Amino acid sequence: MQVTTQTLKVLGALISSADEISGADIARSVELASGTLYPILARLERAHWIESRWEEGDPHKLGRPRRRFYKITALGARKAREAVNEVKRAFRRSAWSLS
Amino acid sequence: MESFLAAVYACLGKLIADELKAWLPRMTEHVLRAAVTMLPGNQRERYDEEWRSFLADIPGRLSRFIASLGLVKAAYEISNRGIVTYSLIRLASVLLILTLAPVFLIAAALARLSDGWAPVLTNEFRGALTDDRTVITLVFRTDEVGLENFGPYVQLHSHHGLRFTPITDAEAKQTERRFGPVRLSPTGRLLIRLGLSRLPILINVLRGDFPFEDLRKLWVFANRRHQWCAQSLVVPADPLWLIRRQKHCLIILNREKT
Repeated sequence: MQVTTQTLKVLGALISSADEISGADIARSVELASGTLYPILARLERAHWIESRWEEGDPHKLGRPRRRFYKITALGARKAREAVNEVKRAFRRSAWSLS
Repeated sequence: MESFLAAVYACLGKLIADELKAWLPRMTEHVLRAAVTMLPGNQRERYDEEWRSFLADIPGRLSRFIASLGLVKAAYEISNRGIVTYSLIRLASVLLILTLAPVFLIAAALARLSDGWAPVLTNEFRGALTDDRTVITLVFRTDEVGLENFGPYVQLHSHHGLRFTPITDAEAKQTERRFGPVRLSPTGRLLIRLGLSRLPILINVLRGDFPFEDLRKLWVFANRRHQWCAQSLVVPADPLWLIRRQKHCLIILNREKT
């Protein structure tokens, strides 16, 4: 799967969040527009890097639509670490070639 | 007069604001529904509720409306409409090939006449579009022959495990010297001048040789070739490679016999 900077941001938000987190919360924390965020979440979920579940409770009782909560899986956390290390390595290479 | 105009503007402004206030939730609802409709049937229910809750968490009618527009883009990407778009592009390439068939035939005939039985088409390798992915496109052969057959780049790539290494301009020139300069054939010169040498890329498109992403990038970077070529160069392992310098770009052809 192609890991873009935006994907890394989303993964970062999911990793740093102690609990499950909704799409709106992720959008707020990483400052991504809905048009960018949801395709990323869909791709990550398809790749099993994250998983999601519905908020518990009846929408009628809640008085609003249920939220969908996302959390990172063990695979996702590992892949995110690998991606970050790869970026670091690439950065070091670039810095070295520029010097 | 000025105070009258100010009063009119104030009234109009309030009227427009009231209208927007009344209409925005309805427009948001319409856009949301349109976005959900774009999704595959089995995902609509989920995203309908999820996106409603997403919009409910956004303060302000206008912000909510703008966010709903973003959901249309999200729905487009989630529904993998790239496949649809690519199919349309392939269809367009069929039409273009049919329309340009006479040009193809004339170019092929010219190449045959000037260069004997050398292949008319050859593979052109384009290094590193973004990451380590490469694109191989079909082009009309434009250099002088003596090169027998051009094998497909892919074979060498997979068997020899070619590496991508940064290269300086001096190194590129040195490599060029090592393998000799590229001599354009008269037909090749004509094809390049007419901008037809890369026409066979339509065949790649038709065959679906590139992922949609690469096709898009080829399109986007069509006029910024150095961005996808300057980054790297295949280090040729043997003289089966023909290296052509074009401005900032090094184009590599495989001369391997097949």
